[in-house]
Amino acid sequence: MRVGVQYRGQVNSSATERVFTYNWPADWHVLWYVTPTNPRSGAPQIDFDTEVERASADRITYWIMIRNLTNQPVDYELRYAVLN
Amino acid sequence: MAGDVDVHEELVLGQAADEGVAAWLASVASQANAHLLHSYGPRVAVAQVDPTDASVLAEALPGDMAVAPARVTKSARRTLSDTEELGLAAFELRSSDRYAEAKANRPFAGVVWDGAAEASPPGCAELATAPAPAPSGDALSHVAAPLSARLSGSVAVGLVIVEGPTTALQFDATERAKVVAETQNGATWLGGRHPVQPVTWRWDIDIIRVDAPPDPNAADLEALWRDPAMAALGYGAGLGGVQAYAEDLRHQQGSDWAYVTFFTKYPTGWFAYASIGGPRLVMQYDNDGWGPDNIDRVFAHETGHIFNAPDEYASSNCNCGGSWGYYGKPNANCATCASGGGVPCIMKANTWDMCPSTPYHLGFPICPGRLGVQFRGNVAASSTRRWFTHSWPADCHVVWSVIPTTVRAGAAQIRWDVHVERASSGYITYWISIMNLTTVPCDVEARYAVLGST
Repeated sequence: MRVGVQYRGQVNSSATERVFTYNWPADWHVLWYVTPTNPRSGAPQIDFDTEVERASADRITYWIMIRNLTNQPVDYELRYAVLN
Repeated sequence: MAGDVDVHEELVLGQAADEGVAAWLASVASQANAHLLHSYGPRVAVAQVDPTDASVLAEALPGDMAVAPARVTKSARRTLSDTEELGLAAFELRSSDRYAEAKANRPFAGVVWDGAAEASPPGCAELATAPAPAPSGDALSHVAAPLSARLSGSVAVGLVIVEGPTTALQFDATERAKVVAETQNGATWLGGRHPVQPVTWRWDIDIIRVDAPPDPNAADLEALWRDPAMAALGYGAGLGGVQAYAEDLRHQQGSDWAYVTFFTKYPTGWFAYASIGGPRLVMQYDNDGWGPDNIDRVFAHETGHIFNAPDEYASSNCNCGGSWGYYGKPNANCATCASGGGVPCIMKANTWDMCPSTPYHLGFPICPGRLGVQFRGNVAASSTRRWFTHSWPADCHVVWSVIPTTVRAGAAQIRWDVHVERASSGYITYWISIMNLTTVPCDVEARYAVLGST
């Protein structure tokens, strides 16, 4: 197993951003998750969802929707884990 | 094998001053399974490499760079800068039999820092946090970012050997090489405790001779020699000047962190001391009764202070509480209150050991892979309930899943969603909303998987 950061970005206040990452081998078991990187204590800042596209027989594109739950811009990092 | 720190290191030597051995090493690191540990100017570096991969590293580097050269000619040495020459001499010393013998016979090996009758304990933060009153120009308010928030990535070290006007205050070539060898050894060990990737140390060495006569009764023993030395480097007096130098070092070396290490033979308040959180560390060459052969461990201990780790020996007046370092953890291995006096640790004793608390203080990523159940609960019929769980180290990659524990076959019972809060620079709070899709109450179990860290 290995983990990493695929992308760092910012999502505007109360906005949703969708990013995609492509060419992932279809036989890799990949999990995606997002964490804010600028501290703001007291309430959740980020919600995220993952959608999946089978771009070819052996490649997968992941689409990650990142929703800012606050009224200020939030910096985030998109993390992954390849489990196999 | 250089030194006694159980790391296989190899010297990498370039020929051209604009070559950048360190940059080349970084570019071929994964290919050669090597890692840059130390850089001394553009031509001298020390890499951690598996012995079986040294030839792979040599092939991956340009032809005019030598890995583990059998000999370095006089003419090649003459082209090196002071920093490069001392880095090379230090590695050669660490690779010698006499160095190995000295390490095997360290004075007071394993003794707690306040447990040697013939040696005093290294100074702690109190001295550093209460320097002489600073002049108005000494304010640190210009500091934009911490210089040593956590021990990770790369660290620039300005190593300044400050000499005085008399022979007794000067270092000969052997002593200079000894200082660099000991700091190299201590840094390799300390940075090698990082659980993900060893720390890279980028050294800049200056030997400064000042005119100030020694004065054991000076109101500020450090300022007497430090301020003229910093002036010789082009910086102002006081800790403000040291801080400005460290900031410049960080920029010049492109490192994550930076601090300044002074070695001197001038009288000092303690034979070794450092500021908690930086920017400077001070050591006497004779290293009190511990001797020069223990400079490496005292340097590692003091560098621990630079990166916010507290003392753990009893006479430091430590206690098992407090909020220390990157994760704000208590000083749980303090000798006065830890069970059985605590375990061996570089912050407590003259040893190559690190207790479980110090990695938190230094800010190492703390993410051993593991699975677990964080909580269990009940969600009412056709409703949603939200839980939060806090103080997860931000470096940790954590994924969440929820399962029903109430048995009800035939259809999905629950759905969950995870929201994330960066509660502080070091910690994350997860908010887990669990929706009951059925018309009867449902017991649930929230599970986590810690997958590793970045």
